Amino acid sequence: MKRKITLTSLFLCFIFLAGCIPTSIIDDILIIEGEGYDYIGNGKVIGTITMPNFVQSGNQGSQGAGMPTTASMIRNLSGKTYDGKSLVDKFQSEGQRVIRPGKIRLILYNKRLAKHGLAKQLTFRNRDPDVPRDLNLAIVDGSCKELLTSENYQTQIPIARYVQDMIIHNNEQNYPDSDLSTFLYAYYGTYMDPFMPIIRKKDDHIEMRGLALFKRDKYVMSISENKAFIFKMLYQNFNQGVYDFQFAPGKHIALRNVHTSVSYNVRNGNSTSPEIFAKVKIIGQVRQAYPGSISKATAPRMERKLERDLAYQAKKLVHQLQKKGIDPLQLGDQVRSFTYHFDGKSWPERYRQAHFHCKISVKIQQTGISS
Amino acid sequence: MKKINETHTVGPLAAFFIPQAMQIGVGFLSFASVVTKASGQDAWIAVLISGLSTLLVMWFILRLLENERKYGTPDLFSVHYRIFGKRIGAILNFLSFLYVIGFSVAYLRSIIEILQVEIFNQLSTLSFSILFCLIVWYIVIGGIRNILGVCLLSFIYLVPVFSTAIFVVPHAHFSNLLPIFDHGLQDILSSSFVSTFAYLGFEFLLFVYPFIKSPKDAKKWAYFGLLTTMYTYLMIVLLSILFFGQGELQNTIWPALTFWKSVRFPFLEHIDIICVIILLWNLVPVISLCSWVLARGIKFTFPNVKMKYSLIGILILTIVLTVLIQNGEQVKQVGALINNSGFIFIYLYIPLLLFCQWLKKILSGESA
Amino acid sequence: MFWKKKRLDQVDPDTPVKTIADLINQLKSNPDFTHFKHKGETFTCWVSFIQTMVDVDYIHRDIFPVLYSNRVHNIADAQATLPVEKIIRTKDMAVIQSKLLEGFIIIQENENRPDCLVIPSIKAQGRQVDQPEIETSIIGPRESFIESIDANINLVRKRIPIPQFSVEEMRVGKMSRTRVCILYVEGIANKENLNTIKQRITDLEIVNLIDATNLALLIADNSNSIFPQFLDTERPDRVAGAMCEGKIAVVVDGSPTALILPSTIVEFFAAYDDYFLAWPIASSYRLLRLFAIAFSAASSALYVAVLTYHYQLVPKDLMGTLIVSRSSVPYDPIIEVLLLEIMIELLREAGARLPTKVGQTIGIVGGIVIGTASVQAGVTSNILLIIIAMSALAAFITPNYRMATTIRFIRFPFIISAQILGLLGVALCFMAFVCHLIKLTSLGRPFIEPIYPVRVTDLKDAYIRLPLNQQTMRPLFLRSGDAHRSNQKRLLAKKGKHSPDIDE
Repeated sequence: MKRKITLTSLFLCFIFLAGCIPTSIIDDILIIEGEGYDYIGNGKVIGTITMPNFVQSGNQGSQGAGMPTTASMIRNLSGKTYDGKSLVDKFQSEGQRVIRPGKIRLILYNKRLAKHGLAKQLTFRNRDPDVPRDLNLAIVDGSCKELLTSENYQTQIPIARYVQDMIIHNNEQNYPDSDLSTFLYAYYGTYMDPFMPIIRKKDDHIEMRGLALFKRDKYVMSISENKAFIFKMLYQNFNQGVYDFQFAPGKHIALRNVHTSVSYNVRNGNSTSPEIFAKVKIIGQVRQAYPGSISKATAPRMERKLERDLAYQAKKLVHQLQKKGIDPLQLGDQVRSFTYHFDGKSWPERYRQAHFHCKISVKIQQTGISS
Repeated sequence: MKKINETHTVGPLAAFFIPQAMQIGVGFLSFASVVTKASGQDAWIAVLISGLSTLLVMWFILRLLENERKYGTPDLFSVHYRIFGKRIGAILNFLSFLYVIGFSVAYLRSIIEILQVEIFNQLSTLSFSILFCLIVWYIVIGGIRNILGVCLLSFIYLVPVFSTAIFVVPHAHFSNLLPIFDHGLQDILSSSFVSTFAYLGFEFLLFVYPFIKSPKDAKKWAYFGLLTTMYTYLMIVLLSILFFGQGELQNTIWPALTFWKSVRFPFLEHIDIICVIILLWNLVPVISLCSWVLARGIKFTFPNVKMKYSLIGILILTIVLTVLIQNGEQVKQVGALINNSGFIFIYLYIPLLLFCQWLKKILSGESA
Repeated sequence: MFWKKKRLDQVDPDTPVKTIADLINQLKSNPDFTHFKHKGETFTCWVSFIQTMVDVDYIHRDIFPVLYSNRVHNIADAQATLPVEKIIRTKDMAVIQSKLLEGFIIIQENENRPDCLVIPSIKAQGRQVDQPEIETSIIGPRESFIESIDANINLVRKRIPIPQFSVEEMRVGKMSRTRVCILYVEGIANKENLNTIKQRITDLEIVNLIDATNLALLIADNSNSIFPQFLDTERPDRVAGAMCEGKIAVVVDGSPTALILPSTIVEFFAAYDDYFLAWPIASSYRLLRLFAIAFSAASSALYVAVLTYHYQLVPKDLMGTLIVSRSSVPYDPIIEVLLLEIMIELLREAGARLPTKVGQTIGIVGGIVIGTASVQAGVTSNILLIIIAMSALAAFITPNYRMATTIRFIRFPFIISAQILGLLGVALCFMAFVCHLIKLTSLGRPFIEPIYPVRVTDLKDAYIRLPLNQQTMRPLFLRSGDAHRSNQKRLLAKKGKHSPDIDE
């Protein structure tokens, strides 16, 4: 019995020994939801962080009497710092509580920083075990600080949530998947380059402006939303995009795809000009069309037109990418996967000379409930 | 050595769960990035090769122990005593003690390191290992049956951890596996040398074997256990390659943890924390079995020392050694040391031992 | 261990009294002890009994007329003529004393000679067989045990009317001399189990045994464990079912519960209703119950761990709700949780101690008024209130009351360890409990049996309940004398051939 008592007291003793771990009680910390970096030249950035303020006014619990004791009195902080500095450490001296990065949803960079290169930001974000991998990245056309701290939005919801919802929703449609996980896959991957969406503040709301394409960590070019469909079509299988096709001046139809699948084949992967064959199958519906342009009878004709147009657009896009020497479609990786003893060293050279063939088959399944 | 009491034996399923629990450990968190270093997308072949080689070693082990049965207790300690005599046998036993305690310390310390990185930076190594060893003590004083129970439960608890792998599927890049057989035999073999480390642990059957009822059935389960481990590792490597691709894999220390960070449930995020904590369950059987083996070995060498007293000493030693390893670099070094000696132990020493046993039989057969 | 001490009757100092005269003298001062000399024409005898213990009407109606009649000439005549079965003629003082104190009538020819007749005439007093109150069921039998051991044995025996049904009686308690009966089906119950339980009961060294649950604590394998190791039930149908499986039942006089042993942990979470429903439904109810128990034990600890250390785990959209509900709470999560947990425990305890009608009121007052008020006062968050209320509810889902108290108790170590080391602490605490469960045995049989050691056939009636006709084996951990419940071959033969195709 005595032995048991000694053991129990020992146990309790060590429990308290172990108990010296700093807490982060959910309402006593500042939870960062969004980060923004604006490059101002000379290795300096203006960093902005936003923290949601969940309690806007006195809440029901305190009967509206006292001030709520919640942490987030501060909604955002911004300041000048050097490029590659963790904003958590930078702003800790300005926060009234501990700042924690564990729930970041959104990291924004302005175009200038993207041109300068994101390597430093990405490495420290990737090193921090606290940071989730499903956050979204975006390039801001304009100032991140203004986008994150502006007061004149139509909506009251925290800005980071607003932007992330917008990006995720669009990724289900015309834009390819672009969370941190995908970005880092392409960033660290050998024969591929990453991309992220571009957003812009437009008066009292925010809009998606297209895709920013990178060469390693540096911004190179952007493509528009309608082209993003072409991009996504070549990049992954998806099922909710809309392609706006102008088949004659002033006459449009909109193809909403029900299912799109892409498959690649490569010949002569190690030759100076490898041949890449892409085969895209689109099954779609038409919900919006120029009056009289489409019916059961004319659908096949429209399908052929669409196929020609899409193939042309795809070739044009790939050609453009080849000229810039970037490979966000991961064609290099496709070539590698089809080639034994792939010659990786000369690939950047050979990539420009590669022949890209695209075969597209469009099937319009349905043209709506009125003819 | 006294005959083992029927009530302290365990069923043949032990041969499945014990090697299984000892094999799958923290190693698998970093496994994928280590194995793919040399052979890239063909690493799964390497894993397959070394997995099959463990089957061969298992055959050696079982053969060794079965041959020993007619001379006495079929475990490593008595094999040493019988073949090499009391003095050299004792030295060899001492070396195997060192290996066993090293195995448990390296394991305990590396999981503490992961806890410190992932969950609590300020977690004290000392107090955690003390708390943990108290639990281990509680299990080991219950004997081999309780240890087997913990092995079994750890197997059950790890099933949901491994089934998170299903979340890879929507993000899988199947082209990452192509082209198959792109790497030379040398690359693949060097990869499979590295991957043998992950398979270490099944050799503990050498110590537990006399406690297993109906060894005939146990044989089948032992092989089956190894195959299950092989399957698990194969899946981990394949899914890591599909999810990460070579570039990112080489940049990641613990691919499995990084993967868990991107899994999202509607009611939970950051499941890496939960998975790491469930992995603790894997630690319990390993440390318990190691301590049990040591306590038994000490009793074998000095029959007067009771296991329940030596156990306390062993656990204190484990704690002290664990605290002595201070940083991640040292954790790595100790891990490498244990891995290399384990490699020598299973691939060189065990066949050698079998040979010696055979030699001894021939010699004594001639003299008699 | 206390039950390994010397046997009870060897130590007992004050029984038996040396002579019958001593006994009578000892009892004489009691006003309810009747001792008189009957002088008839042909037969004279001494009659003694305790008035409060015997059925006086019965004596007047059936026994005295015989004694007073002319046909009886001596005590042997009386024994032959009395219309009572089981009349004992004895000289053994031990028997005389115990029988007299139980409510038998003693008839002597000579006041000072121990040779006498012992005639049973116990007053049957006690309530009628009633509906079960703890283990209620919606369908199925509505009988429950009562405080009389004979009625209880009757309830079980009428469900197993075969000669193999065996009852062994023993007496426990230096002063209470409580009757304890072991019921089992011979040939099915494991002999080893039977001997262990008999050994443990006879070795008991106690003054007073009140109840079967009390006995369960005394004979438990590990008396320090917070887990009950023997199942207690008030349903005779459940006891009969368990005995048919090969288990042993123990009933105690004066106790409306019976013990079923050995038992495994899953049995504590199985309601007898499960056997009255179709197997998919029964299985899902069992799973629901198990989930509820896990929730009840862990939810408040997880709340503490997540809110104190692991904010990352909270889904983005829940974050706001949690923070808003906690925003006016001035305490750490642990204080808040302990406050509410203790409040719920108080309510439960008050509800159990107070008279039924007042208790209900307290429940309503406590649940609604205090709960809402504490949220409105900003002392606790309303999310936590939901969690705690649900976990309290979930704890009461456990069909067995003793297990329910264990589940409620378990929460507190979990909550404290969650505060100390977050989820890691919860994991360590869980580990400690699981290791304890692995070690635990019930009558020497593993307590968490279908899981460890793995017994696939027993899993068919553990977490889920498969169709009864598939359960042809008795639980393996019992090592029953006859492992098969039914003959699989005959079962298949009776079913007839499967039809080879649709409509054929």
